[in-house]
Amino acid sequence: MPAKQGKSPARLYLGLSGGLLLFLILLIASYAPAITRAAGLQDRSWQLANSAPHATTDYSTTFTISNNLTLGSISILLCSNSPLESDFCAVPSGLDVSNAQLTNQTGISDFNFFTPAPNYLLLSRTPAAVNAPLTVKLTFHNIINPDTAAPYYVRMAAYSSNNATGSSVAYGGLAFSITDNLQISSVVPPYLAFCSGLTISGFDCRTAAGDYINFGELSPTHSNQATSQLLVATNAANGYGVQVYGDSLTSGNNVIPALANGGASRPGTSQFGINLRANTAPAVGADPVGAGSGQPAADYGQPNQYRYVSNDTVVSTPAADDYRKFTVSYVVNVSAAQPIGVYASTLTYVAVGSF
Amino acid sequence: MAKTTKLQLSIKQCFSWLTAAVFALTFGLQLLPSAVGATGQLSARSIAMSNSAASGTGTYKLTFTPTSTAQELIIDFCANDPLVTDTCTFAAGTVPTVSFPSSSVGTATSVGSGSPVHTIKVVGLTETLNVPFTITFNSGITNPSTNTSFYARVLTYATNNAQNYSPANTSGNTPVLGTYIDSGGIALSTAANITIQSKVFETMAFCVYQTSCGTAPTLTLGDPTTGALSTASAYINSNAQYTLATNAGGGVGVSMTGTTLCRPGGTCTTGANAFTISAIGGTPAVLGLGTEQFGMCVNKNGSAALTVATKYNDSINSCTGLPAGPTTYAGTSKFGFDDAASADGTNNAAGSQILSSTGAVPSVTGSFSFLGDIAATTEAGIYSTSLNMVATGTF
Repeated sequence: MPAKQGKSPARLYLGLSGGLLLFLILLIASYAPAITRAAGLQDRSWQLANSAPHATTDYSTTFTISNNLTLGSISILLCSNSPLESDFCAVPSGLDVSNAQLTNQTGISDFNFFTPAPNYLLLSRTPAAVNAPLTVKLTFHNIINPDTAAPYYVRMAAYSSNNATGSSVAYGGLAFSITDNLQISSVVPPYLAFCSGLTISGFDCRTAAGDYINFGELSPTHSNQATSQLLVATNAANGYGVQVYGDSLTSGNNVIPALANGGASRPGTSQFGINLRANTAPAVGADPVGAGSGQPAADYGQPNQYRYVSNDTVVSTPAADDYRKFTVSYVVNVSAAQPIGVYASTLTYVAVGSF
Repeated sequence: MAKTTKLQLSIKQCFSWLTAAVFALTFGLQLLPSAVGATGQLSARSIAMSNSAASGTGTYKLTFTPTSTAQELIIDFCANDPLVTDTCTFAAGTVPTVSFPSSSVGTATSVGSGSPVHTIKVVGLTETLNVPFTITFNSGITNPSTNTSFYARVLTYATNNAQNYSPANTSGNTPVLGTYIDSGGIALSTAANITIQSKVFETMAFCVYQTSCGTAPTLTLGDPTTGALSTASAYINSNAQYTLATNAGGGVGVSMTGTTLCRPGGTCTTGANAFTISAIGGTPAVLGLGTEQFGMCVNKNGSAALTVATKYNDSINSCTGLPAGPTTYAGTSKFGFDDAASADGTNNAAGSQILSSTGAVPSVTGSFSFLGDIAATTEAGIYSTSLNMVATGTF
């Protein structure tokens, strides 16, 4: 009835298992101190104002001290390989905190600031108790980012000593990334849309028609008038100007004098003038229309007041302007003494954009 | 001499017989378990402990196949060996302590006196010939207080016979077995629970690029040949990509700083020759031909972890399916760009948030699409901007 048990294999198995277990326990125990210290700094964040490689920028960090402790210093080490306190720290290429300044500290405000190494920020204070939880925010100015777009790590450790010596009493790791800025470019090509004609439909230069005005027979008893139109638009940043060139009406050596100083229309007086407004004396012309904001020059912008000086600017605007249509009114009067003849002139309008 | 020879022969014969006897005995012992098992050895026996830690409590699940029908059961825990006929050593540190055990079948009670009690009796069972039998002790057994090997001696009985079993703590070192039917031993062990700790790096992988991470993203927004915008068409460029992955438990926020497209002059936003293409603002809008628009939408590529900020969320198409460009665009997607200097604007030092999460983010590759429109009065010139994207995790 009694059964013989195979004791040796069982005990060998148990022995091997026990040995393996012991090895595992010892292995884990060897890491335990580092693991248990990795606590105490919670809700950690690390923010860059500019994440571009090699940019000079500000870094801000926020963390919460979650254990009651005596705090004398905080070391902040920036590494390219690992956030683990026990690991070797590879200094990120290009990173330089040497000229950094501590520009803001909240939560704890009595830190003195040092930069013992290009990747090492050290905050020191007279050791004093900290009652947890305490949120601390620190801002550092004038740090040069690493020169390569990649992830990087921060090792933040709190010490009871004021010089980050001894064992850390709280620890937290962080990670951040350096990445290239996004560059976008566009071109807005320059344009100056300008046309003239006796008539222009809407705001479409393709409809400009006519370039000849016939005043008919001039008489001392009444004014003769006519109109033409100008259409202008531009994206010239500093706007545009439209100038008029040409002589007054002439017939051989005889001239109908231009209203060089401006004035009203006076039938029976030889005069030639223009303006760009709606007039009642005589009833001719129209005010500017269109989405643009260009206006006639002051000398040509008063209703019933006319002027003509070659090379004058008749329209201008100081900024880019949408389409604007101007109606130019021409008024001609002659005296009884005005010599007989066929009087003619060619006026040229020139628009100039200032980009 | 002859006598001596005869004696020598006798010794040789004795030696041969002795060798044969040892061989037969050894061979017989090897066969013994199976031979005995055929008549009274519980086979396929095991005990599964739910907790092997020293002093731990948990369930003990006993399984065996009886070679005879039985109705009762004794389980006796001993420190020295599993043989039912051997003496049984016991101590709190070397065998389980039994106290008010409960079982999945039958009625379990502790047996014996002294300390510790290390024996269980179960009655009211149906143990059937060659049918695997399982009984689970759900409570009432506390593991030895040290990490050690120990043994369970299992005996089956006919009705009312298990009461005759007297364990070592009552009878002395050798248990009184009574009339049992089958028996078998099982080895068990307590061991320290393995506590494993690992350290996971804080990670924050964020990259903005054009073709692959590390290639600086430089986009042209306008005609693919001239780079020019037009009042006749809107233009789009979706060639900016990003990859984001982090294990930040508190989530991640991606913010953007920078101006709208501007024609350099002074500081872009001020100065004699500074002109801008107006940003769409904080309320996403569709394209509007003939009006100045600079906007962006964010494609999160279906990520459940990420949330696109409302200002940059294309509520129509989720910023998907847009042309890579640069090319003209006449679609229905919405774009936004808040270039305010106030909070959550791109001209604020803290930037304008474009993406966020409330927890860790598995690797997500998405894209940014930019829209450009100009008005007739948009000042001529070369416009540009440099947008800085910053990912900040809370660990």
